[in-house]
Amino acid sequence: MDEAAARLQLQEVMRDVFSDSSIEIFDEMTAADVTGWDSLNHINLVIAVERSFGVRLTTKDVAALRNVGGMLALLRAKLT
Amino acid sequence: MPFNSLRFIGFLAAAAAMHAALPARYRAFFLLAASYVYCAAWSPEGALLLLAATAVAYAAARRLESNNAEGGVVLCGGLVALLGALALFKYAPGFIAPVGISYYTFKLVSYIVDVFWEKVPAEKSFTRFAAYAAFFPQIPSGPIARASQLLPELAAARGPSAENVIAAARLILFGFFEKAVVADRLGAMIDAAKAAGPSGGSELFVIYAYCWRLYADFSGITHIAIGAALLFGLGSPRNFAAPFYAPNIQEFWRRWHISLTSWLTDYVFMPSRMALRDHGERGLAASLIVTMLLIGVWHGPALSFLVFGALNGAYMVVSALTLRRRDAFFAKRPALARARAVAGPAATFHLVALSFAFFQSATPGEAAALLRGAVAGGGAPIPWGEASELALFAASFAAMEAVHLYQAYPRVKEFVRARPAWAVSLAFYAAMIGGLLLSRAPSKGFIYFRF
Repeated sequence: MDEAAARLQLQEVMRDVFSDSSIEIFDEMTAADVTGWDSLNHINLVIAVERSFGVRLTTKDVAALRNVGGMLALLRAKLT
Repeated sequence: MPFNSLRFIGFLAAAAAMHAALPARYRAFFLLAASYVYCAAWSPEGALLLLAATAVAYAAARRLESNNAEGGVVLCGGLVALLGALALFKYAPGFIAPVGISYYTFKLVSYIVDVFWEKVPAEKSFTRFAAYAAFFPQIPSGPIARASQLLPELAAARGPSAENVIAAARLILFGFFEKAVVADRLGAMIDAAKAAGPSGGSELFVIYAYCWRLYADFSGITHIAIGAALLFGLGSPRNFAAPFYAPNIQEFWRRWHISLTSWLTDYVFMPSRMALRDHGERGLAASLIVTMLLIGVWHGPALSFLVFGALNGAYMVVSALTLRRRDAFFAKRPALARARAVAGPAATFHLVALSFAFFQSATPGEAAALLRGAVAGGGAPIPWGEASELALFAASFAAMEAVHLYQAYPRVKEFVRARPAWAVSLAFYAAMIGGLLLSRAPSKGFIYFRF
């Protein structure tokens, strides 16, 4: 999958989940950078990402996530 | 050796001084030895159980790292052994839970799950790992430190800096102030109100006062633990962030007993929410209720703790399912949003106080009697004590909350830091030492010690 397209797609998903159209994602972005990114919304984000990208993540995948860059790397690995 | 005893202060000071004087390579071993001396002073059998639990977690983690094919089996075996021992000692009739078993079991469980999830590497040094599990400042009441934070600090063995020692002294002093001046005073007032007999009309006072007493008591022992850890140059996770000003119940649970709630979020809520994610809002509700019920029964096998957990589970479900709509509603109504800024924290505090009525009662029936008395009212006077005692208490309470607000809100911190440092220090030390010297509240044990 095209790296830039995946990044844009993830950004759209995050804007939708956190109801904030101004979110601009970057690799080092974490929950602390986004208002409303708490443990409840984290799983909502995972569900939305799974739907949007057509992948299935495991609890271990999700537990090991550190930041947005990690999420993109995980998606890249799942999609290839 | 409870924290609010001279023996503990002597032990802590001697251990910290010896630790600082040792070469770095002996520090982990020294901490391990000091921690086992501390645990064995409570009960030698308890120290042996800690050693056995540590060995199980150490071996399970090494196995998990070397052979991931059988990872699930090793993980389950480790969890059954650790949680089985906890359940046996905590809930089985005839067993007495050794000091700290809840807290070190949670540390060990999070460690082996993190190794399974490949979030942390398995620790090779048994000495260092055992020192992490047994670290004595965190034994009686936490905070529940994660291996990812504490193990690297133990490995670095930097020892305390001069700033660490000053900060530690401040934290420990503040912890004693919260405990001896505020919590024990409130405890004495609650005892006096209860001694006045049932339906004296002071039930409402007991319900409110208990919330603040529990908070001051638990925050006090936590500050002593964090300060004691700092004397060894070691950091600690946060446990409180001005929880009684939280604008909603979800926020309250992010600010109360943070090291326990974040533990349950990572190891109970997140996995169960992932497992039930295809079930929509019902999956969310089930995960929240399971998590909150566990918070309740973690405190002990009493039915009233279960009700405490169930009530908070219900609050969390309603709040989580409606928060987005409530936010949207208030976003369009600025005048109402301003009222919400006050009404939200007030409503949250009252919901919490209602659940703490169960938490503080031996049985749900006792809690119901307390609540009935509060609703019925009556004329019995609230046992404030003499005017001078009440004035001291009010000033101490204000000082305690000023520190809590300073710790939790960056805006307050900026305001205080813009003042002359000498004036801030003078005000702080005068309040702390003055409060401790003047207070005549009878000393009581720490509430969270028995969990």
